[in-house]
Amino acid sequence: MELDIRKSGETLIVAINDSRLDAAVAEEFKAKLLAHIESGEQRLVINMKNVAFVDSTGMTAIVSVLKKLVQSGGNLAVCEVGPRLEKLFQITKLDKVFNMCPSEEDALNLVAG
Amino acid sequence: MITGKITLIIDADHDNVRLIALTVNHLVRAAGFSDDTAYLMEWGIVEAATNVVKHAYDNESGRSLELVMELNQSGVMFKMIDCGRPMIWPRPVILDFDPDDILNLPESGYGLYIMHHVMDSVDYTTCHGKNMLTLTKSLPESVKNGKQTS
Repeated sequence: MELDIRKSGETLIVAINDSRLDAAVAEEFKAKLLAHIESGEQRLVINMKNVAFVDSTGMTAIVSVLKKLVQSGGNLAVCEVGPRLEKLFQITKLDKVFNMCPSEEDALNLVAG
Repeated sequence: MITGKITLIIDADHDNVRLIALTVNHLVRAAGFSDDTAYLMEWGIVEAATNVVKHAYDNESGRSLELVMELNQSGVMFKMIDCGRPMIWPRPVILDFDPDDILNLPESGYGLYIMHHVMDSVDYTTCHGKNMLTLTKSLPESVKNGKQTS
């Protein structure tokens, strides 16, 4: 899967460049992010601007990443989620779990907070 | 508005689930469902097919998954058929967690909840080694009467 990974200060920004975060790519996505956390990253922003569809396997991959971050005292925000995708997060009630931010700047401020 | 019946047979793997997803989305829109409803129905079918790949077949290659899709004037019926390990049925359809208790968030169990949320009915039978998940979704009355899509 295509990820654009860059740093802004102490925050790692992961932009998903694929249009789908589903069972075909979720394990790879999770493994890459967990590896970054294990190497010491504690502030993470996932930019979902290009993502049109997420299934439950993709959602639980993000849940796994969040758990790992919380265990290590870190913080996560998800940003630029489109309205259809936001509806999926609402249906699964995960909108109440993740810090959902309208912009990447908001997400950076939140995890730095 | 189109009607008819189509059978799709794929090798049961996650890449091919995408083919089913895109086909379902396209056909249900052609049958009169709105883009938003088609998107949610695609989600439900992806969850159903992914369950087959992961749980019925344990991601084993060389297994097949069949989707029969029947579009008619009142809506759509999907029948998803596999020959893998059957599900325990009926099973509870709940998604109950404390969003503040991050470390105990569930990492499974969302699929069936999603299917029930986006479809009108979800049923499951198993007989002679064949498992069949049946999902239905009705068109709104306004669409059946030819007034609008929904």
